[in-house]
Amino acid sequence: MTDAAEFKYVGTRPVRPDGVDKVTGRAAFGADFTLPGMLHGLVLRSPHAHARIKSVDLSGALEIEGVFAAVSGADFPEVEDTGEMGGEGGGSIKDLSDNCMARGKALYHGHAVAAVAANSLAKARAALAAIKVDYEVLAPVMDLDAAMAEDAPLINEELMTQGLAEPATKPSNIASRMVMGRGDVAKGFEGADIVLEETYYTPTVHQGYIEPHACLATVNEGGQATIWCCTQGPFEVRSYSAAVCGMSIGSIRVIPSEIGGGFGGKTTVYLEPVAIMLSQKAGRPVKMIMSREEVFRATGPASAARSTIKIGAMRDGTITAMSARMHYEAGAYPGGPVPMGCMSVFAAYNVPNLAMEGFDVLVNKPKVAAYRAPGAPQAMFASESMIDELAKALDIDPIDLRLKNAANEGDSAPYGPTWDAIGLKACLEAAKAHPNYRLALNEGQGRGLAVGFWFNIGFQSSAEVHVNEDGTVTVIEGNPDIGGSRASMAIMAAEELGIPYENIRVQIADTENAGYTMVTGGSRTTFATGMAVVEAARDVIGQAKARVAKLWQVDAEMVEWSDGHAVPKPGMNVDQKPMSFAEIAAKTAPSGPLLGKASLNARGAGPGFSVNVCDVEVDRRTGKVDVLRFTAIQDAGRAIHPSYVEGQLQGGAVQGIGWALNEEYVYDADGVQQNAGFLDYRVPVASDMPMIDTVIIEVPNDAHPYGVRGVGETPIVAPLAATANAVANATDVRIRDLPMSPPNVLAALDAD
Amino acid sequence: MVRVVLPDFLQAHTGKGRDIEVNAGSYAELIASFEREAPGFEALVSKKATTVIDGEIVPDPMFDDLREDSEVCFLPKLSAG
Amino acid sequence: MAKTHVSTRINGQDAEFLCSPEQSLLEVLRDTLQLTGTKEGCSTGDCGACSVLVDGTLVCSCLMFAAEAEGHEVTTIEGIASGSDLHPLQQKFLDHAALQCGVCTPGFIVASKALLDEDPDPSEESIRYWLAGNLCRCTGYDKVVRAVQDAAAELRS
Ligand code: FES
Ligand code: FES
Repeated sequence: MTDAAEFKYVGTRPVRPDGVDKVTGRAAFGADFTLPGMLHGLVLRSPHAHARIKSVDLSGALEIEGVFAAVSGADFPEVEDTGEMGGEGGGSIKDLSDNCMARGKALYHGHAVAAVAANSLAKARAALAAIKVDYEVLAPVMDLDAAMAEDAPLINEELMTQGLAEPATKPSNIASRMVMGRGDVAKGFEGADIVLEETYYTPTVHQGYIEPHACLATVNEGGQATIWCCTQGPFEVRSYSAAVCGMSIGSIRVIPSEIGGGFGGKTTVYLEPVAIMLSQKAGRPVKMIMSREEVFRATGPASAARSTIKIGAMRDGTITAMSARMHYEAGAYPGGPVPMGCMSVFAAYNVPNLAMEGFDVLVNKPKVAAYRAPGAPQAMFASESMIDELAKALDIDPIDLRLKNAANEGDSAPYGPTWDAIGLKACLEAAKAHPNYRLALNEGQGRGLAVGFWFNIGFQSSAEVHVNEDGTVTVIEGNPDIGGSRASMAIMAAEELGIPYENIRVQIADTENAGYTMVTGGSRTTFATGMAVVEAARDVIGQAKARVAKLWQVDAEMVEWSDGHAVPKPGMNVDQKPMSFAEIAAKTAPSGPLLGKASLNARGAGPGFSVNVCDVEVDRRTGKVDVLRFTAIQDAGRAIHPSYVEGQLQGGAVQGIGWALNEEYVYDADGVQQNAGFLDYRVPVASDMPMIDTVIIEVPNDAHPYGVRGVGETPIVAPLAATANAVANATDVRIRDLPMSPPNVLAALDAD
Repeated sequence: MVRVVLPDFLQAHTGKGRDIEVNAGSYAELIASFEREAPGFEALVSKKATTVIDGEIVPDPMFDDLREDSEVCFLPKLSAG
Repeated sequence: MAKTHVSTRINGQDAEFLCSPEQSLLEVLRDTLQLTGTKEGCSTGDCGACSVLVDGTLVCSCLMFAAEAEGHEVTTIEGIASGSDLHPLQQKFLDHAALQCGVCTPGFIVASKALLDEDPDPSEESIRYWLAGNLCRCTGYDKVVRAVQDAAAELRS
C-alpha cells in the first residue's frame, strides 16, 4: 500500500460528481418517474395486528370504472422455503413474499393484504374501500415478555425453536437461540473481585430515511419487466422480485433512481413485486409510493432488544469474565440481527471467559429490517453501559478501564478470528488526548464515553472504466450513491489513472448495464466497489500501455504509466514523448475502444472501531436532556473523501442520539402504532443538536489498495451508550431503558 | 494443524467443540474432511455461515490454500445495513 | 369534480394549471407541472422536504391547496439558481458536502434562502431553529449549518 503523502487525489475534498443535480432539484429520486398511461397503485393494509384472513373479495374494487387491476395473496405464486436469503436481510424468501402480501394471516397492523391499480389516486382509494376482507381477529403479542409467555398466542403455529440444547417439543414465538463464547465464565466470575449484573432495553425504532419507498413498474406483453425504484440494492430487488413473482431473473430489469436514504431499510422489497403483479394484470405501467404512515407501519423497523450483561473484574480493572443474554424482536418473521448482536457485544475487549446467548423472538410488528450495523447498537448499548458502571464501581477512568482490556492486533475476537491491525486503542488514545475530553463541566452536566464496533463486509462488485475519445473517462458501477460514493469512486479512479478528478464521470448503471454488484450496505461500497474501480482502472492502463508499446515498437514492460501518461521506462532508448489517454485513444482508435473491467468478490473487509464522547446537560425539572458537545472518533482505514467520512460519523452520531433520547414506537393495547408520523416519532432536528466534532483515525486495511475499511455503519453503534453514560454522569442516576425522553428521565430521577 | 472455530450449529452438527484442529492443506480439503465425518456440513456452511480465514472474511474460500498455522473461523452468517 | 383554473407565477414565469379542490400545491408542482425537485417526505408538514416560497414566505407545499396559489408568486428549488449560476447556498452545500443522499437538500436550500433573505447574518442558533422544520436523517446537520453560515458570509460580502 502507498503512503498517504504520495496521494494526489485520495484524501482531498472535491465537489461530488452528482452534486449540481442534487442542489438544483434535477436529480430523479424514486417517486420522480412517470410513463405514459401510468396507473397509481395503492396497498390495502391490515387494520389488525394479528388476524386470520378468512377471505378477500376484490370484486367491488374491480367494478369501479378506471380500476385496472386488483391483487391479493391468492394471486402470488407459492414460494418454496429455501431457507436463508442471500444478500443482506435475514430470513427466507417465503417470508419475504408473505411480508409483501399476506397469505392466511395478517401478522402486524399495516401488513399488506391486497393492492389495486387505477387511473387516478382518488379511484385507487375508492377501490381500496370497496375491497371486502373477512378477518378473524387474534390477540397480538407486542413485546418480548408477551411473546415468550407460556400461553402466548402463536404468530406462526408451526415455528419450533432452533438451536436449543434439547430439540423443541412444541411451537413457540422463539424462532431460534444462538450460543457463543469461550473459556469458563463461571470460573471467571468466581475469581473476580467484583461482579455486576444488569439488564438493558432498547425500543423499536425506525431507520427514518426521508424518502418514502417508491417504484414504477411496467411489464410488457412478453413478460419483460422494468422497474424504477429507490433501493440500496437493484440486483437484490431483481432477484427478490423474481422469486416473489415467479419470474426469471433475466426477465426483470431494475433501474435504480437516486435514493433518499436507506440505512439498511432499503435492502429489501415491499412494493416492487406488488407493482409487477399489478402491471402484469393491468397491462399498463404502475407507480406506487408509500405514505410516511405506511413507511412507519409496514417497513423497517429495527429490533427492540433486551440484554442482561454480567461482568467480573479484578480491583485493578482487569476483566475476568463477561456474559450476555440477549433477546431481539424479529417482528413477524424470523431473522432479527441476533448473530451480529452476539458477535459484537464484547468485540472491543480481550477477555478470556465469555458467554453470549441470543434469542430471535417473533412479535406482531413489521418484519425488522437492517438498520446500520444491525444488532450492534442494541448489544453495545448494554455492554458499554455496563463497562461504564464498572468504571464507576472501581473508580477508574472509563478510558483507562477500556484501554486496560482493549482488543489488540493478535488477540482473538470473541467470535473466533484473530484480530489483524485494528484502530481501537488509537481511537481511545485520541479520545483521551482530545481537548473536548478535558473541558470543565458545570453543575447538571455530565460526560459519557463509549466504544462502537462493526465488522464491515466486502463481497461481489463490478466496475467498468471507459476511456472516451478525448481522454475523459466514464466509470460505470452498480451501487446506488447514498452518501457521496460517486465522489470516492472518481477520486480512486483519478488517483490510479493520473487524470484530473473533473475528467471522470461516474454512472450508477442499472442491472442490465452494470455487472452484478451487491447492495449499497454493510459499509462495503467504497471498500468493495472501490476495489473493482481500482482494478478496472488498472486494466485500462494495462491495455493503454500495450497499445503504446506497439506504437513505439517496444516490449510492453518498457512502457510505464505516470501522471496520466504512458511514458518510456527510465533508461529506455527511444525518443518518445509521453502520451495521454486522449492521444492514445485517438492514435489507437482502430484497435477499438479502451475499456477496462473488473468483477470481483472482495475479501478482507476491515473491522471498524469508534469511540464517542458525549457531553449533556440534564434539566432536573423537565427531564429534558440537551447534548452540549459530541465527539466522534473512528478508524476509517483510509478516508478517500474526508468530508463524506465525517458526514457518516456525524449522521450516525445523530441517529444514535435520537435512538438514545427520543425515538421509539408507541403501541396501544391492540398493537396499533400510535406515533406513525414525524410529528410524534421525533427524530433529531437541527435545533436539538450541537456541531458534531470528528476525528478520523487511519489504520489502513491491507486488503484494500488504499487501505479503506468501510465507515458507514460503525458510527451509529457508540452514541447510545455514550449518551446514557453522560446522563448517568450528570445525574448520578443510571437509566438502563431507552429512550431517555423527558418523562422517562423524570421518572428515573423521581425514583432515585 | 489448522485451527478451526465452529459456531454452535456446526458444533451441534459435528458433535465437536468450538476450538478444534484439523489437518488440511487447503480449504477444500478441510471442508471435505468435515463432510466425510458429518455429511451435510458443506451445505450448512454455505447456507448459514460466513467464512473467515486468517482474519479475513473470505466470500470465495474454495480455492484457498491453508498454512500449517492457518485459522479458519465459521461465523453465523453476517448481514448488514 | 370540476377542476379549478389557477393563474400564478412560478419561478418568475406566468403559469396556469387546472387542479381539483383537494389537491395540494406539492401534488400539482410534482405531478401536473413536473417540477419534481420539490420532494415529498411526509405530506403532513413535518419534514420540510416540500419547502417552497410563496411571495417570498417559506411554506410547506404539502399543506397548501394548489388553488390557493392563485395570483401568487411561487419559487421552487428549480428557480433558485439564476441561469447557469448556482445560488451561493447551492454552491456552499456542494463545497461543504452538506448533502449525503440529497433528498432533503432542495427543502433545506429553499428554507435557508428564506432565512437569509430575512436575516443576512443569522447566528448558529437562529439557523438551527429556522431549519428545525427540515428533517435530514443523513448529515446530523453539522455540515448543513456550516454551509448556510458560509453562504450568508458570502452573500454579505
Ligand atoms: S412533505 Fe411537506 S412537510 Fe413533509
Ligand atoms: S442528506 Fe439524506 S436526508 Fe438529508
